[in-house]
Order: sequence, then C-alpha cells, then structure tokens
Amino acid sequence: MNAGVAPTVRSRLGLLGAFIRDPNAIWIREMRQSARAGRTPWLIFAATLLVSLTVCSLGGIVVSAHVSPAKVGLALSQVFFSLAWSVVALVGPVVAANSVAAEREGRTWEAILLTGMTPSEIARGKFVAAYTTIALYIAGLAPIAAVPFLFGGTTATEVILGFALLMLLAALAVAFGLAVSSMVSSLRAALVVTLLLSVLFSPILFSTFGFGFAAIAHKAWPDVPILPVWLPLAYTRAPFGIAYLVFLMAAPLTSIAIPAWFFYELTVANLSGTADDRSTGLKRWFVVAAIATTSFLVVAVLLVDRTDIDGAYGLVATMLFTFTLFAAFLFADEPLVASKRVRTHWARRRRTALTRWFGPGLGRTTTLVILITHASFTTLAAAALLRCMPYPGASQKALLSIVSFTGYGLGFSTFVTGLNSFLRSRNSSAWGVRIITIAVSMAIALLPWAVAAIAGVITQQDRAIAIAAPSFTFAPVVLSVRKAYTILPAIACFTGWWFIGLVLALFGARRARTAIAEQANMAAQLDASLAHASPPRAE
Amino acid sequence: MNDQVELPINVEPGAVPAIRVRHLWHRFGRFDVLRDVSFDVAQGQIFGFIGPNGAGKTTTIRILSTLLEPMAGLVEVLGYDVTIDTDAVRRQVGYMPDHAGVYERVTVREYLEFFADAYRVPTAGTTYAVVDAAMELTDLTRLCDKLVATMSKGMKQRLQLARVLLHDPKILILDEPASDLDPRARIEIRDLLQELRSMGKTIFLSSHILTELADVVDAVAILERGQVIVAGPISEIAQRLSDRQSVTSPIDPLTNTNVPAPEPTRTVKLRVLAAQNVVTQVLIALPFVRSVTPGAMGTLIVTFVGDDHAIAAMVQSLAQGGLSVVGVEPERNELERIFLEATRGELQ
Repeated sequence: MNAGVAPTVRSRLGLLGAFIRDPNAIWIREMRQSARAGRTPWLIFAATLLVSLTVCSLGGIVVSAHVSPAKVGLALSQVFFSLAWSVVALVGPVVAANSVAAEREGRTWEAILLTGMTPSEIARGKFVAAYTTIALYIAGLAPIAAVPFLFGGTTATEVILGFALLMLLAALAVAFGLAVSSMVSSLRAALVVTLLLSVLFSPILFSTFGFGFAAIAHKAWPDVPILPVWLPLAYTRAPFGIAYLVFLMAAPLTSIAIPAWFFYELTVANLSGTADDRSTGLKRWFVVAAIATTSFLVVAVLLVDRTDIDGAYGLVATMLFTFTLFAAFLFADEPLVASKRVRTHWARRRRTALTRWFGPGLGRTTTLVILITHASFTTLAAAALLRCMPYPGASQKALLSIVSFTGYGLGFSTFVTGLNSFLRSRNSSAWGVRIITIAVSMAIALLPWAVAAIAGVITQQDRAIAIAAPSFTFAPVVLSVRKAYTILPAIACFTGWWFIGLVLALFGARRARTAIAEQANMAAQLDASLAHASPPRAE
Repeated sequence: MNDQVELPINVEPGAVPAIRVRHLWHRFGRFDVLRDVSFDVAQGQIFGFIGPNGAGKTTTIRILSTLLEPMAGLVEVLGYDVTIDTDAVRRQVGYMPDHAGVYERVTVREYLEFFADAYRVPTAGTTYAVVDAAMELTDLTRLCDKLVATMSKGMKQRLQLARVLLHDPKILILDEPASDLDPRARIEIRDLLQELRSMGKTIFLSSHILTELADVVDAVAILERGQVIVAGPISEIAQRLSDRQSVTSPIDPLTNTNVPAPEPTRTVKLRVLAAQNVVTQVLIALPFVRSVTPGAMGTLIVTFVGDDHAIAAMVQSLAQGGLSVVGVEPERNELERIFLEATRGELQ
C-alpha cells in the first residue's frame, strides 16, 4: 500500500468515524423534534403528489401530440428536474430560515450559546439538520424521476447527475436560508425575507444559469441541447478536454462552493458575539473568492475572440467591479480595532502578524480590500492587454475599453471602500454607513446624467455629455464616443475618485489609530484605579 | 466613581470571591444602564440582587454570564475575567434567564441529554449518569419520558434548573426563577435552592419577591437607576440603616439649622387572647410604645421605639397582666424594610 496515501485514507475514515460516534448535538435534537412534528411527511407527500401529477399530465399532453417517445422522455425529465429545482430553491431556504431565528424567538438561543459550543459548531449543526430535511424532500421526489425512463431519451447517468446537482443546489439554498436566519431575531421576518428573495431570484437564476448558459454551452458543444437543465446532459455529451474540465467541472463547483462558503462564514460571524473575531473567516473567503473570480474572468478574457475584446472586457470588468463593491459593503461593519478579548487570545496563542492582519480592525481591512481590488483589476487589465496586443486593428478600441472600465472600476471601488472606512470611523452603526454609502453611490451614478441632460438641452452640443463623466456608468460612453471631450474628463474623474478614496481611507485609518490609543489609555486608567482602589470596606 | 457605594464585607481577605464587580459601566445608546457598579459575592453564598424594574439587574446578570460585554470596568467570576476568559466563565456558571424558552417537542430526558452533549459532559456510551443525577435532584425522574410541551410552568422551571446543573457549575445565576410560578412551585424552588447551597454552590439570585428572598439569601445588593445603593449581609445593612437614622439630623430649610431627628420607629403585629381595649391599655402604658391600632384578624399593630428588647418587654408586660400572647411578627420582614428605606434614597 502506498505509504503516502494510507494516512490520508485513515484520517478521512477518522473524520467519518468521529461524525458517527460523536454527531453534532444540535443535529440530533432537531431530527428528534422534526420526527415528532408530524407535518414533514405530509409536506413530502404533498410535494411528491404535486410533482407526479404535473409530470404525468405534461407527459400525456406531449404524447397526444404524437412526438417520438425519446423526446417525450427528455421533456419529462426536464420538467421533473425543473420542478424539483423549484422545490429545492423555495423549500431549502425556508427550512433553514426556521432554525436560528426560531431559537432566538423561542428564547432558547442563549442556553445554547452558554454551553460553550462554538458558532461554527452551531452553524454546522443547523446546516446538517436543515440539509437532512431537504434531502428527505429530494429523496421523496426520486421515484418520479423514473417516469421518463418509460419513454427513453434520457440515461440513468444523466438522472444521477441531475440528482447530484440538486443536492449541491440544496446545500447552497440551505446555506442561504441559514445566513438570513442568523441575521434576524424574528422567525416571521426570516421566513418572509428568505421566501421573498427566493421567489424573486429563483426565476432569474433559473433563466440565467439554465437557458442562458445552455445557449453558450450549445455554441461550444453543439451536441448539448438548449434546455434549462443542461448541465447533466453536457457531462454525457460534451467531449472531454480542458474546456470540459474548466467549464463543466471547475466552474460549477466553484460557483456553488464560493457562495456556500460565504453564507457559512456570514452565519458564523452573525452567531459570534460582538467582541469575538467576526472578520477572519470573511476575509479569508474574500481573498479566495477574489482570486477565483479574477482567475475565471482572466480565463474568459484569454479565451474570447480578439475582435470582441473591447465588449468582452467591459462585461468582465463590470463583473469584477460588482464583486469589489460587494466586498466594500460587506466589511462596512468592521470594528475600529480588535476587541480586548481577541487581542488577548492572539497574545496567548502567539498568533503571527499575518494572522492578526486578517483579524478585525478597520485599518487593516480597508487596506486588504483596496489591495485586493487593485491586484484584481491590474491582473484583469494585464490579461486583456496580453490578449489584444498582437491584434493592431482592434488595439485602439480595446485599449480604450481597458483604460475606461479599469479606471472607473478601480477608481470607484477605491472611493466606496475609502468612504465606508471614513464613515465607519465616525459612526457606530454599520447599517447607517451602508445606507449613506448607497445613497452617495446612487447620487454619483445618476445626478451627473441629469445635469448632463439639462446642459445638453440648453447648449444643444454633444460635448455636454462630458458633464456625466463623474458617474461610473460613463465608461461605455467613452468607448462608444471615442473623442477627447469624453476621454479626458473620464480620466480626470476616475483618477479623482481613486484619489479621494485613498484620502478617505487614510482618514479612517487615522481615526482607528486614535481609537486604539484611547482604548489603551482607558485600560491603563482602569488598571491604575483598580490598583489604588481600597479592598471591600468593612464597617 | 460612586463614593457612597457600600461594598459587602463578607468576603474574607485573600479569598477569591465567586463574583467580583468593580466600576462596571454599561450604556445602551445614550442611556447609562449601569453606573459604576461594584460588589462582591463570596463563594457558597446565596446572594440576592434586587431592585425596581429597569434598575439594570438583567444587564448586570447578562454581563456576568458573558452574554454582554461590559463597556468599562472589571467583572470576574472565580477570578476569570468575563471579557477575556469567556469559555472559562461559561464552564463555571449556570445561567437561567428570566422567561427562558424550552424545546417543546422533546422529552425531558432528550432535552437534558442534548444539553449534556452540548456541554460535552463525559458519558459512558449512551448512559448519561449526569442527566439521571440532575433529574433526581430536581425531582424530574418520574417525568423523564414526558414531552416538555405537556409540562406545567413550574416543571419547566425545574427542567431549566436541571439544565444549568448538568455541567456542575460552581455558580448559579438565576434571573427571577420564581416568577409566574404558583405558590407550591415557589416553595419547591426555594427548597431546591437551599439544597443546592448545601452542596456548595454559589447562587446569584435576582427576584422581585422580597419575602421569598429574605428566607434564603445571605447577602443582598440593591440596585437603583444603575447604581448599587447598598450591598452586604442583611443584618449588617439593617444595623447600618438604624445607625444612620439615629445620627442624622435633618436641616430646617427656613432657619438652616439642625432640627431634632424623628424617632426611628418599628412596627410589630401582636395576637393576644384578650379584648383589644384591655391589651391596648397595657401596651400604651409602656414608655417606648407610640401607638396601638387594630389590625386584621384580631391582631394589634404596635408602633414603638427600640430594638428586639422592646418587643420582649411588651410580651413580658402582657404576660404579667395575665394576657396570653399567641403571636408576634414584624409587620414587614427585614429585607422589605431595607429595600423600602434604601430605595427611598435615604442612603444616597
């Protein structure tokens, strides 16, 4: 036996053994409660009946139209997995939303916290409990998946892959519901928010990742049909190669794992106390997610046709801009400094400077977000330059696209990060900071256009459009107009936003340093007063 | 810093107090909930923490049990700082909040087994000896297979108490443990607390029901508007109060001179097997008796100046007059008297 493999296998068995021997207490308790609830089997039965009737009805309709049996089988399989996806997308978050919020509302939450279970243990227990429930729903639907086999047109491998995909999506749905549940204290609010978001976003995600991506997959691999549940079909029909590995294996796994990890870290942060380290997990996620997102976008830029580089770069740069803006808002509730508890734990466990740098603290978090933003945009721009440089015909337009989108993306992301840092250093409310930043961002995005429109009407000149240059939505205009009166104001504006952002970040960091000094001073004063305080006084 | 704070005197010098609070401040928004709170609780005591609604009792308790981080000050539980050594404090403390919830769709045994697992209490396979012990102590053994949803409030309160005992904490922090309970359940909880004290547990008890606290507590702290206005053993606080009353002379606002202080009076209820007018004549003749008024159910309420010796003298006079005294009890218990006088601001 390979000596290098044996310990790995043993450790894996050990982990499984530990899970079986010492299961998460929350999971066991929630399963016991669910078993007594009575409503779970009825819900599974109702869902199964509803999906069965829908699939059979549609099968009957399609058969009556004298379509070939293989097509009927494929159509039924698509209908079944689409319905199953809807069940998972709606029921998964709702089941998970029930978990933490119900504990808080039922006043049992504090009892759990005081047992010494860590927030990550609690989150894992809650996740596994909700996931088990949703897995039961999926298992309940499984017999219906056999109906299409009566007609053919779909293989057992495709059905198994479809179920595997469903289970992965269920993990994401549960993680999302758990994150929402950890943020609110009312069960009703948790249910309403998760249901609302699920109902709103499910069709959008189904259309984008279903029909939208199926069209792209069909273009890459003509054997893959443009059907909403295309991924299991692509696994069996696309030829194996680098594109298969990247787009059918790495990309789906990453696009499920990264958000699921984010929801997990968000849940753990929300379950932790305000004096605990709520930053490290989210910062680790941010760094890995930034690397993954940038890598994926770089691959996309390198694979795109040289003649399409200007438009494609605008799209990928906008995606990166959205991600960096999200990061800026995510860290808006960062504490000014690490709490006394966190600093003591660092000292006791002899944490390295790098570990501490990934910990709580406004200055270091702002620096991290700005550094990662710069690194991501620079890498993306470099990849695009590399791709378009050997093609002189497109270089001018492509260069303008790279400069414009990189400039606005980098400049405005830095501005928002700096503004968040500045406001946070003067405001105790994270949501207050977020609301002000959103209001300022909206004003910057829209107001210049309003002024430019009025100026255009008054002056009747095309140049009036340059007034809209402060808006970050001006980037596509630079590319379409390609005149000095749009290029120069654009460069001035995004440089300006970048510079203001850095200055605001510096002010925020200085305020954080002052807070650290004040905290140390207060601690010293308290120590001094305790040292001089008389012991409990006897009469 | 509050110079007038009366710190308890019952912690032996050098001994580690079960709870040590120094200069504790906490603020919600712009409102100071706790202002320079300081007190000690000795190990093995039952300590009553009392005060009007909104005084800051629950905030203090949440800080002690690590659910809230203090904004300033030092709070230690058996020498562990609640801000830093959260895990160590949680191992030493069993906290039962006011109106805490329970999981309804599990049995008593399942409920306790869940918490035993969560506390990582060592078990021998599937045998939870600690769960059996906790159920026995709280008299829940016969209900072990009963669903929690079907239990009465009193039984649920016992279940909560069993839960906080599972990890064998040295200190129990109980916030209003007898609220919403019927008289029988209250008596049972009180007896249970005394049993726990005999096992060496320190009990930090917050309650509004002063008559019940008076029967069990060794020492108290009275909190008003976020400040400890008096703390220590009941007898010593009572003594301090009467000492202050006897030496303090109010100032006449018109002449700005001291006026004679009103006599510190006490009230006692007497039940005598005789006509009330006869008893009144005997008592009113005593020099320290100020008034005698009829009370409920044939009792007489006697207002007098002095201490317990005066009560003994009253009983002796009645006995010498051939009148049989069948009951003597203070109109208010000591703790109620202390609370009323302290929260009137007489100590501030």
